[in-house]
Amino acid sequence: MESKRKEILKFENVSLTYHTKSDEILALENVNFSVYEGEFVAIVGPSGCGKTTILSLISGILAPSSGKIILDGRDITQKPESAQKRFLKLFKKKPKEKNKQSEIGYMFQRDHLFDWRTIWKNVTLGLEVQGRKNDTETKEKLDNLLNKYGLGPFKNKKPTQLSGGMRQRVALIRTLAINPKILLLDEPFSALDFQTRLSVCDSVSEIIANEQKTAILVTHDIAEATSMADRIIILSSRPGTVKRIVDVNLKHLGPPIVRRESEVARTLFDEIWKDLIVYNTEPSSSKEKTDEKI
Amino acid sequence: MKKFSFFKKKKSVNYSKEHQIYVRKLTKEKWIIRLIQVLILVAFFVLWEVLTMYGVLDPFFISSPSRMIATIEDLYVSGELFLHIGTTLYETVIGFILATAIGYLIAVILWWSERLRRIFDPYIVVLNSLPKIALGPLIIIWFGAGTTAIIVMCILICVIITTLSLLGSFLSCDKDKILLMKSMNAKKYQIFFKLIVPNSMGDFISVLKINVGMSWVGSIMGEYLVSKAGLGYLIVYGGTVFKLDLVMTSTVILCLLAGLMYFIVARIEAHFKR
Repeated sequence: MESKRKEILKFENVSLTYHTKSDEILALENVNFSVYEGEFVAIVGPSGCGKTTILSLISGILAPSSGKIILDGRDITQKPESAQKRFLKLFKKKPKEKNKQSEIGYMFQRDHLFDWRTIWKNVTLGLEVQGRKNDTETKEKLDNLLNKYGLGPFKNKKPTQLSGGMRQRVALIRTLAINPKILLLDEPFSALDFQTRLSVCDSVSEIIANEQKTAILVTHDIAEATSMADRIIILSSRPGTVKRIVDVNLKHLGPPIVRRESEVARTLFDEIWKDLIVYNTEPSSSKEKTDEKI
Repeated sequence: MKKFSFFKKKKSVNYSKEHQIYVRKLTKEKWIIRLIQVLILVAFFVLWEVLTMYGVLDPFFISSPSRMIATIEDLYVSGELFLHIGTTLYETVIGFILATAIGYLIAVILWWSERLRRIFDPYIVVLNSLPKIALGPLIIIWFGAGTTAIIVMCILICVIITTLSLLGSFLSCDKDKILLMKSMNAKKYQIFFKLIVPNSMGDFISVLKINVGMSWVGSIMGEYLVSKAGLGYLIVYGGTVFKLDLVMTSTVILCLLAGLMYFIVARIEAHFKR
């Protein structure tokens, strides 16, 4: 079934070595995986295995030491042009890239809403930045989403007046304004209390499914991964490699909160948990420290 | 658009009785503090007057409120009062505005280019620790003995600290927020105006508050070195001819003006915080 779907992201033998002045650390070794369009993939692994590093590679903050990363058919690991070439390019007329589609939307542990803007201004920030202030279609969509998730009355309020869960929902809706090809969710629920986390998980899962977005979720919470994802990539401890990829496919059961309770999810949870616990005995404390610096 | 008003307007909403009592308690506490503050000030001047009147303290050395009022009258009659106040105020305000603007601009340039930032870092650190008054003689030679030299002095004193504080504030912006803007394909100037500037607003206001104090230091010090008019001039002149009434009067007027300027900045702050 997967072969029919479009491959939107592909990691080919990706390795990454961090260089510091005093040391070099192999963080990822020969990581291979693909993500298909419209798929929800979770990445789990012991702490310090390079989960967040993978996201940084996708967003291009870091470049791999070797291997290829292909995002929507384009190799993003290609070296940027030399300064000389860029300088010469300044004198050439270049076609204007208008309305270039954003490739990546983010959701972080913190919502990063701009406190000086109202909720509506936060949500439409992407349109404003891209000069699409007259894009009424997107605006209508955003407005509907806000209303659907009970945020309508807060449109003209500042983020400080909202609860943590509401703020994370706004943060997700904000990324939809720029219609990204892929959504990177970097532990977006870990700062929320348990009750809120469950309901925000449900909303996020529903929004992403309705918008047919491709999403990659990095989490340390196995239950979160089993209840939300279509597939789970399990990483081993450093140097991070893909240990196993687990098919979940529990979408037919309903929202994450229901999937969480299902027998299949529980079995999966135990299985993955055992996978991780074996590896947890390995990493030394010094390795974890270096990860924090990164 | 928000209307800019110097004084808060009260909303008329019907709150519960408990709320009214609570608010009344708050207001009462506020007024008690105000009252004590005023009383301390009044007591200070009354004590000063009484002690000098009965000869416990010598008014020749420490002046007295009544003699200060007489001095102000003399200055007013001779038409000098507003000349001196005006001169110092002009130097301070122009120095304050220019220093803040130049400091902001330099901070923006250094934020923009990491390479420039690293190149100029040691120079800025040295300039920051250099006592700017040491440049006094040079400034007088370069800019002449007058208002310009004093404004330059004022700028020198304020500008480095403005740049350092603002640059620190610009750079402390959360990396993830910048990443978020980049994911929207924001250009660097958009990141600057839509994220960095509003994000550093709180620090900018604190810089303004620091600069209010620093620009007064600059203008008065400048006037000590070289001037024909101004409150600093009056203080130096009064000191040399032992007219301590003049020194005290100028100092009190300075206090009032500096307080007023601070009040204006505080109002601007309140406007942005709302």
